[in-house]
Amino acid sequence: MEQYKDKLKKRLFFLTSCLILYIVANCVMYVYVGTKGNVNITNFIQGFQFGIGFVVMALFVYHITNYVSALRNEKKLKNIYIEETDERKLMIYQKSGSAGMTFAIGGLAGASVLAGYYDTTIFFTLLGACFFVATIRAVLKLYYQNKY
Amino acid sequence: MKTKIQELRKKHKLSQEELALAVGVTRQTITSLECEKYTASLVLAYKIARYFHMAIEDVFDFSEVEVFENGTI
Repeated sequence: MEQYKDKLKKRLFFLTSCLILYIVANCVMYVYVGTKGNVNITNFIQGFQFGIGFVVMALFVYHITNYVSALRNEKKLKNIYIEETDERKLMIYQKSGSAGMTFAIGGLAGASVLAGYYDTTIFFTLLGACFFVATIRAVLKLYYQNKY
Repeated sequence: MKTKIQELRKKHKLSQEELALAVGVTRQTITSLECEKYTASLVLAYKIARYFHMAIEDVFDFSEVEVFENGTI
């Protein structure tokens, strides 16, 4: 359990750093776009950015508080450890992740074929996304083939 | 896979939560094992068997597992 505590402390440091970096980056971008930028940004995009930013920050804060309280409470620490290392849960994550990626590649490939009849920009965007997801899958497959 | 987990748990007057905590898994995993929806890994099977001071094959029923014998399944 001591090893797991060290792992949580490292994660806590990483999450806090990311949160600070994220807030700073968002503030810089907001100021830049708001004062110097000539980007024609719509209200919808700004709302979307704010929404996503809020959710990301809320998730970061949730995990940070969760880890801090776990480091102070042995029972909670054990519960988090069990939740994270439970083999059935891990299997569900792996299976859903693998199947999800396959569906994503298939969906993007199908959508790019359909989009090709209507708009070239959408076609190339979807094709790019499809290749991106397929490349990630291939790289991960190679990585895990070498690892295990 | 059929198991004797539920039977052993009741014999030892243990709840699913207590057994789960003792072997380091979630209660849902114990439920799935008892309902034969999930097959335990070798490590988990060992932990459960050791918890009840029994051999793995006495807790888990391997009779329906297909095995290779002389190259055929």
